[in-house]
Amino acid sequence: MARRATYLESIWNEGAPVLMLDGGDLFGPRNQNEKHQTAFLCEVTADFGTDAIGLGERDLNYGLAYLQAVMEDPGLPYTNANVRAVSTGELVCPEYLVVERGGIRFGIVSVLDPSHHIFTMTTQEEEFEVADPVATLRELLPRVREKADTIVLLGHLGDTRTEAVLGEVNGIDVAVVGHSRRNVDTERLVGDTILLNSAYEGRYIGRANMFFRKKDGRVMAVDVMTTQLNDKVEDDPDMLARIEEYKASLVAFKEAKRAAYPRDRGAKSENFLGDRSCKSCHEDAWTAYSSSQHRQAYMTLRRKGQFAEPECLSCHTTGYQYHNGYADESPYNRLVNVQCEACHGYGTEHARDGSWITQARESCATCHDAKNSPDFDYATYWEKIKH
Amino acid sequence: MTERETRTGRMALLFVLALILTAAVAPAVAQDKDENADWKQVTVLYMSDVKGKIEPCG
Repeated sequence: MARRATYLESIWNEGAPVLMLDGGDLFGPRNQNEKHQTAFLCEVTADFGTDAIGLGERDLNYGLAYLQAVMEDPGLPYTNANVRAVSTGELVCPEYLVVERGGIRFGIVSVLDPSHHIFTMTTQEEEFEVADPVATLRELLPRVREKADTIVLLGHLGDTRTEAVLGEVNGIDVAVVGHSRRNVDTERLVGDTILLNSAYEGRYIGRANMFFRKKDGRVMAVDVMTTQLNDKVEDDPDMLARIEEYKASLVAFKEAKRAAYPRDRGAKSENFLGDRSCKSCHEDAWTAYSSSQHRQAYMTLRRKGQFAEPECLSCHTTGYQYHNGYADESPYNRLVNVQCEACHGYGTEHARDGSWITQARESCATCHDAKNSPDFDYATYWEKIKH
Repeated sequence: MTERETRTGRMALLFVLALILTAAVAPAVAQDKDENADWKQVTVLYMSDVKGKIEPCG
């Protein structure tokens, strides 16, 4: 971002009107550290003066409420025409944007590929309905054309699908491809649409010098180039200082989070042996476990990107916060899922004298509490793991 | 001051005045030309898939 700041300054100094677009997938992966960093990224993206962002599936990583909060403050200009929240039936972003720049009215629309899976990091799964991009655009574009001279599509569709959609929809003057790793340094036309493509984790930025016919605002000519923001582009010192300040706050955030979950329960002299050890004597019980949701507990964290979160790991692994319990390092990282010892206690203790937690049912409430498992009923849930 | 010196002085003054006038009028003429052009330029910047990155890894 420090290099991007330098690059943008040079463009602004040229004096021509600038329209700044983003094809989507701005947000980071689904975990609390990345969410923290994404909040900073959103602030800077807004400060850069971004005019429009097409919604990518990753931009819902932290849930709809989070997306809508950053649209409000710092004011990220997301747009999308085919993603609706199932709970309300409403579009999650403004259907389209009109931005006037240099006397030209740009109508900016965006669609998401329905095959891109949306996973949110929220406790309760949110559901979204993604409509067909072609049908959406065919219905929308005539309405946008009434208010705009030039229509820009932020197609969060990937390379192949964007070109396919452009082959079926008329009236798009310019398309920026999102959900792509390609950088294309030349002008490309698909039908009458100018295709622009610059992506990959902010390492590149594309520039199109566009010339518009004054009488109707239609595109006359375009000159395209892509700049790699490598070490040949100097860091902007002010932005660099801002980033360093932010990184210090991220370190503090991570340390505070770890400190809240100390590994100090149980006994240092005891060990968790793992479910395979239990199986050697308790085959039937292990079989019941192996087909239960308890054995899928860690996978659900992986799927939602929550596998680094202490708050989640405590109920999706075995012995978290206990001496010799789950940790993200060998040999403790084998204690994924809610294994036998999560409810029955240290295996070494049991192997030594046969003792175990006879009231294991009481341990259910540790995780199946009102917040995380509001429908929990012992009799019903016991049937799922009966052994 | 001789007549020749006076004439030279007047020519120098006229030259300076012409320079000042040129400097004053030239931008306006250029602006008129730009305004009279049948096109407008807008620089479009675009990127995508930032994926939470705030700086390169290495």
